Amino acid sequence: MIGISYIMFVGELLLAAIFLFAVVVGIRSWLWKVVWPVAAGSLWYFVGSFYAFPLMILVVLRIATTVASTAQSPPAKDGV
Amino acid sequence: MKSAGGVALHQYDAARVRIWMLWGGRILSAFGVLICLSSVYAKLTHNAGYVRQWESLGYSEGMLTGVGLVQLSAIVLYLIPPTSVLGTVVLTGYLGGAISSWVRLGQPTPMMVPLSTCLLLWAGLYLREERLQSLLPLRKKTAP
Repeated sequence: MIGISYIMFVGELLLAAIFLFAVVVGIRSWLWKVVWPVAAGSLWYFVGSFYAFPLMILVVLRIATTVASTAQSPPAKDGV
Repeated sequence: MKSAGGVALHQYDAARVRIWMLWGGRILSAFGVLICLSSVYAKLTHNAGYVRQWESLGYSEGMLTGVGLVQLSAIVLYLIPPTSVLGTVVLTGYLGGAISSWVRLGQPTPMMVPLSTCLLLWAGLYLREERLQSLLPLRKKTAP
């Protein structure tokens, strides 16, 4: 059985990667590109990763749903 | 290019966004499930450290196996696609009980573990399941 510490390490890395990817790719404002990672990083560093998770998850969901609602399907080749 | 509250700007390709959301959802779900499975493993094997923590919550060690099996059943429901929403609801109830136990003891830090795990499970399902996004929208549609 894989240890919980290994699961946490890999999971935290993946969640951080998803969060940073969403923030960098999904947000245009440079202010918010800085604010969200700093806020999540501060929570993670000062009180613990489990306090940062909710913020990171909510930011990812907010970006994902907003981007999904503005994404456009390519037009059909026959123009219909 | 559009802006909506600082988020989302470029015109993304919808198919590519769906793929990213699907894989992001799978990763978040897998993370949440693995945290739950490690808890099930500790319960079913009566891990000494876990038993100490369990008894500090006011529960007897004799309940561990039964509770572990209930948790395992909820995880199985979550992992089967047709019952994944039901599994999420059952796991939310289960993890809500865990949060309640820690709140009763006045310990906020351990309480964040079931809370964050629950959010991971919901977020993973939310990103993978388009119907759930329609049912629980996170933003209002802007008027045309």
